[in-house]
Amino acid sequence: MLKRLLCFLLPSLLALCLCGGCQDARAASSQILALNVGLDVGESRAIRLTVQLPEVGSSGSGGGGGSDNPSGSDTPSRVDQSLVQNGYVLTQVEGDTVADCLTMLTTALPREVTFLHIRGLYFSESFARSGLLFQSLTALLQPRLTRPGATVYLCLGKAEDVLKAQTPFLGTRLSKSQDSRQQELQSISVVPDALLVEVYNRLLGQGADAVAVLAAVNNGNAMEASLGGGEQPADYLAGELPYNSISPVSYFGSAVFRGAQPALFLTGYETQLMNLCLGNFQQGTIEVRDESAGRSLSLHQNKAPSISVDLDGETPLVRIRLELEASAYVNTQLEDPQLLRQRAEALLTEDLTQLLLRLQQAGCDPLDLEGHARMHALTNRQWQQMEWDLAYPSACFSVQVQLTLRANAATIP
Amino acid sequence: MNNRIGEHELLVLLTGLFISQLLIPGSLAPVDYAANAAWVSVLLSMVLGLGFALISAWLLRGGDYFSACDLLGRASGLFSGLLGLLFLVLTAVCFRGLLDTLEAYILSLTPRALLAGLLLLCLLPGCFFGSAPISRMLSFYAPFASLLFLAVLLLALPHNAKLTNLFPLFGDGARRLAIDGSIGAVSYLWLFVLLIERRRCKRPLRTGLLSVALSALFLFVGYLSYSLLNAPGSPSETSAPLQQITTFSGYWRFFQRTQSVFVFAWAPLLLCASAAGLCYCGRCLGHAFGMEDPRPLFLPLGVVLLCLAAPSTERAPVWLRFVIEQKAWRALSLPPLLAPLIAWSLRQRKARRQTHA
Repeated sequence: MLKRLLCFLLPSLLALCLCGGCQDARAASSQILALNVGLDVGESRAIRLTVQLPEVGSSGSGGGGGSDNPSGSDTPSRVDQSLVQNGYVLTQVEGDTVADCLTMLTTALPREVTFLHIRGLYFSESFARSGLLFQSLTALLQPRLTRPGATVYLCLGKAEDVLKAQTPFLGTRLSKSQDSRQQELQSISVVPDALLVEVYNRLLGQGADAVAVLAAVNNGNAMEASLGGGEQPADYLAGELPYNSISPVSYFGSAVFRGAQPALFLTGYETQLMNLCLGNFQQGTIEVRDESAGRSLSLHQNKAPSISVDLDGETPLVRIRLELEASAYVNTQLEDPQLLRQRAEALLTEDLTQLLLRLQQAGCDPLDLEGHARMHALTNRQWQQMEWDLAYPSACFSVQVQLTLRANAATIP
Repeated sequence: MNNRIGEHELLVLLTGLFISQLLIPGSLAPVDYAANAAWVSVLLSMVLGLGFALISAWLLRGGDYFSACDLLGRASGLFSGLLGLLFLVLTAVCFRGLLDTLEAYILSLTPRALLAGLLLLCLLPGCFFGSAPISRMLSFYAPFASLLFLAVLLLALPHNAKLTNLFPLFGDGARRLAIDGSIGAVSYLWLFVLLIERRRCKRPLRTGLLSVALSALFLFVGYLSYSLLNAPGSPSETSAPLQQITTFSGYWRFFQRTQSVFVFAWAPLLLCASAAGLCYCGRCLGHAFGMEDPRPLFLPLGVVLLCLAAPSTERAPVWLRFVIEQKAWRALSLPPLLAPLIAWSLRQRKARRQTHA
């Protein structure tokens, strides 16, 4: 009998331990899920933290803070209207550290704010240059505080302005809108893969240098005055794209860090090239020009790039070999597909070399060339003796692009 | 109560004890410092460890640990007592690991002392009934934990593994790794301590050797995956790669918060290992005090375990921090591991004398 009783008690106690009862229970109605977080340099304090939250109706006790369903228009009339946009509200607090800001946020809001579902972490360029970025991310990345899979955005201008301009698009919620937009941009490879925990680890000095998505308010000014753009369809920085839309925030290009400071901004086209070298390229369009006209080619990367660093010579030699596929409609009576392929290969080779030289001059290494050079060292001591930091600025690059052109459903060797 | 242990149950119990870090802090700890090159040490310890395991199996032929200790005469109690104390400290470290894991991932707001007390109430009946029910419980969880581990690896490795993370291949030097690997291999000498169960199992030595191979394989795959997924200089600890890769590998792109799910497989493993550790502690101390039934010891041992495990590392008194962090108690592992060897040499000497006589 005693044994049966114990056999019953044992799993019951185990279940009791793992459930924890109501000890740490939080009612959904007492919480609110933050959608985005912005970090700027404060006016009176070091940090201004902006939190974007769904606007919850005053009678919304049943709705809880769980969803970001934009609801009612019961916002008091005396509040700063710029903080209320399209069913979402912004709350701003200032403090010397992120911990101060979080404490202030608790006093400013009637509900507990949860960051475990945030979509994006936005910070301004000036904030990144202030030297507070790393310690802020350290504070935010405490266990169970912030979603490690959130995307990191560097804003040209203020992060709070970007958050204010965020608009849910085509009838969806803002969270869904952001997700699908990010997915679309990644499918054409004009933005990098910049997950919060990866950016943090790279800022910490592990592996390649950190890269963030570039974000800016795109007010349609580029429609009137030509602000940027190069020879390629994606050769723009965020905020310079020639479009006008009800969703004025543009995400385009990338910010490359050197250590914990942003060192270089890459256009969408340069980001595509960087993604090619990282093997993250999904598809994209390039324009191959000759004397008469331009031809668009749709690129695909089906094979991982081959990167090696040769340390035998006086200066290191970085070899990058890419095997790509391109598809285009080619009228063989009017143009020579071989010539088109050769032009495309030459264009990509030249642009990739230029990009590598730009990264080298800025002292950035988002491609983890250091990791490839490290493969020559068997021990840490050998690696230290190689002095890669001193050797990298004088490294030479050899880029080889091999393109397989698929024209009119036929492969041209 | 059926006290016999089936072969697969003993296999799961021994493998669980090897991989749950109950024994690892005592011997594989230098691997902590080798970071991304640790898998080389583990590979070496795997090869050497199988040799050590064969030696321990040969030393134990025809008897078990206590019968080997009995050959030491009056010192027998001392060796058993030291082993009991060692098991107590190892169990406390393992139990603290379980509490830390639950505190970090699932029950962050539950008071640690309450959690420790409730878990101890689960643990004590297991000790009271002996290691057979614990091994049965563990064999129930083992397939689930293994499948989950495999799923995490399959989700994490293909997209995140980087070959460059393995370099420099030999970390601080091949010599250092060889020393680490040799020290790590000693952990498999524990086989002859863990085969206290041998009289209750049909083919204990074969099962023991299989458990050594299986746990070495688990550890090797864990450390290698950890190295492939994390760039050199990673600040995260490498002492528990099976669990750590689920937390730091970035697999959450595919399977968010898997670490919380994995904890549900990892926590029972640690709980069973702690229960088995406390059970062995009681049996060793019982043997030292000449008690046939060690069960009366479990309640006071449980209280001691609670005192050792309940304070968090930040609030722990100085002596407890010394035990947890300095790991000076590793020296305690030497006499129990040497006991069967001394007993074997005494037996040989005695046999030679009889031959001469």
